[in-house]
Amino acid sequence: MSSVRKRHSFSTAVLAAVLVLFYAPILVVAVNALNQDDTLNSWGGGTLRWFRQILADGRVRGDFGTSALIAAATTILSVAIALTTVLAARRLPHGGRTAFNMITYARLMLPEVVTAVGLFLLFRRFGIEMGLVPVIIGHTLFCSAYATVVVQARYAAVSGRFSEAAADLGAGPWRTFRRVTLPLLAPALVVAGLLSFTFSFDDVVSSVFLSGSSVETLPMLMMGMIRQRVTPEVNAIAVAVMTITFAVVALVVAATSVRAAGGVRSSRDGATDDE
Amino acid sequence: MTNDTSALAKAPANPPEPATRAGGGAPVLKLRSLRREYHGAAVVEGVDLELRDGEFFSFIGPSGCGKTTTLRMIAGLEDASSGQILLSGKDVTKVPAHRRNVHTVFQSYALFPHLTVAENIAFGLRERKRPDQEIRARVSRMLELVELTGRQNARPRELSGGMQQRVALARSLVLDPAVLLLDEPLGALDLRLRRQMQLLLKTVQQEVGITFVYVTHDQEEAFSMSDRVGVMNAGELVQVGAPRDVYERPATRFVADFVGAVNQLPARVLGRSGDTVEADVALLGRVRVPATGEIGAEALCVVRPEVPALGPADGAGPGCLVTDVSFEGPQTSVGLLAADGIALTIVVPSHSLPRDLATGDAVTVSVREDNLWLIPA
Repeated sequence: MSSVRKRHSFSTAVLAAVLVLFYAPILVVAVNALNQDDTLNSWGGGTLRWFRQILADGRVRGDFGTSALIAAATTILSVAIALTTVLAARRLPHGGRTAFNMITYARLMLPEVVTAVGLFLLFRRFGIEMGLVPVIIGHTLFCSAYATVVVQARYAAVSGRFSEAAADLGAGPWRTFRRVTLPLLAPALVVAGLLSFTFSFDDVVSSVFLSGSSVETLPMLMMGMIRQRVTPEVNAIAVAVMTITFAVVALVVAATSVRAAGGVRSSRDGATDDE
Repeated sequence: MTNDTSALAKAPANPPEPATRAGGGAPVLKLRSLRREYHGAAVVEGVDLELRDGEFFSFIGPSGCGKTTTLRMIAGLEDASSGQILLSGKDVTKVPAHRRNVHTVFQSYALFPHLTVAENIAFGLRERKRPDQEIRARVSRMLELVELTGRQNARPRELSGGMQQRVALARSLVLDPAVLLLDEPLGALDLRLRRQMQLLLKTVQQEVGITFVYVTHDQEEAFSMSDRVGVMNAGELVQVGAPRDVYERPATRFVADFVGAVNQLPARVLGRSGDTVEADVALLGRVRVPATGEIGAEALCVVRPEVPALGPADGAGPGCLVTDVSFEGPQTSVGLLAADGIALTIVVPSHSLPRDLATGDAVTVSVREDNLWLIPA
């Protein structure tokens, strides 16, 4: 009995430590973004000055736009690649599918610095100038792997029986895809898109190698800023990025739960067939 | 192995059938030497079968016997390695699933979770590009048939297992298939619900008059619903016949075991005349049994559990000791041990059982010879 309680209190302590260690830095950033004291050594009262400052800063705004553009392009490419490769992989023989999985996981596990250097050398070899497109390709390289894993997991859960049922009811392969497979994959595609967007948005390594001299993303700017000293503006940028990310995720969650609730409600008020 | 010709002729695979409810319609489905193999090993082999229009047919057999694979080949969800499938006289062996007028009720239901009940039922009609008005009418008729009126806008996950099952049934039936395939459709339901669904299925089948091909490992379920059953073992169709024929006259030892003929006494054929043979059966002695067989052949005498009657210790017939009395409600199962170490399990209507019968009592058993049956040893 007491040993059970001891184990219990130990795991609680670990959990508490994890929460503190992981989330305290974020809290510090958030607090300092509102800190009037620009040495960040003590609390000098609350202010929104730093936010005003970064909003007024053309470089911050420009880099934010660049990052958003890269992330959007990466998201579209990654989800498209994930969907098409997952659908193509099901036609492969068993050995081929295993190889496909291994290649996908390799993209996740290879150190990003390796793939980034590889791409850098490849582009240079063919005389392609570094910039927006190379960065997007670099981000897509690993984001599409995450997207593929997410889509594939969902596909494995929905493929067999539902597409069989659709075929059994008279739907050809394309109709089965349109009416059954795609709608069932939709949540996974959204999640894959969100993952790709955030991973691309906060990426530093690939961006540094592949952006050349003309392109600068927001994380690159932040890294440059803290090289000299941690400024309140960096905190403000971090908080802004965090807020936007949370807002997007919250929006998606809200949208999906509203749809689910709608399904329940319409079943209750019943009798009319709105087919 | 089940097809080898043993000295004792087994019951013909297709005994002359009593008139069934379905009557003698034209064959709607024909299987010819159907075979399916995986990596060189046959999982279905040499299946020949003809189904009449409007028949309720069940494949029964233990898991892995090939019954579901056979069903999936009929549906077109699995390719036949060789052999032929004819649907209403047309060879559909190479026709893909979505162009066959055959629909399936899956064991897992496989209802589309993103569609409502009505949309699920309308799915196939939409594929056939039926006008909206017709779709609405047919969907609501189906909802009525499966007693789900009022739930058309629910999502599948909001329904109970039994309701989901009925949606799956309606979704396939609405397309008016030539043959409806049902793959262990009641497997996930509890016993009480199963009984209800069995009744519903039978009623619906008689109402719509569509040929049902049913797969189950539960022989009681198959017996109670089917016009004919086919027993499968290790990929082969061992016996086809009306439930009662299969039960009373199993063709092989496997079928006898599967349909619950627990008592099988060693026997030897002594002589024959007409439709009966004279056999020397352990415990029972010389009996005349409706069967055919070569003189001198070894055989097993099937004594179905409900056949022997219990008598008092000083009655006629071989004496036994009661080893077990299990009251099961309408019937009581009694375990017996005969003098020469032969164990019998018999089932007696509870009302005709002596109240004070207990383990250790001495009794006698008597059998009517025409209720016995011989199978190859």
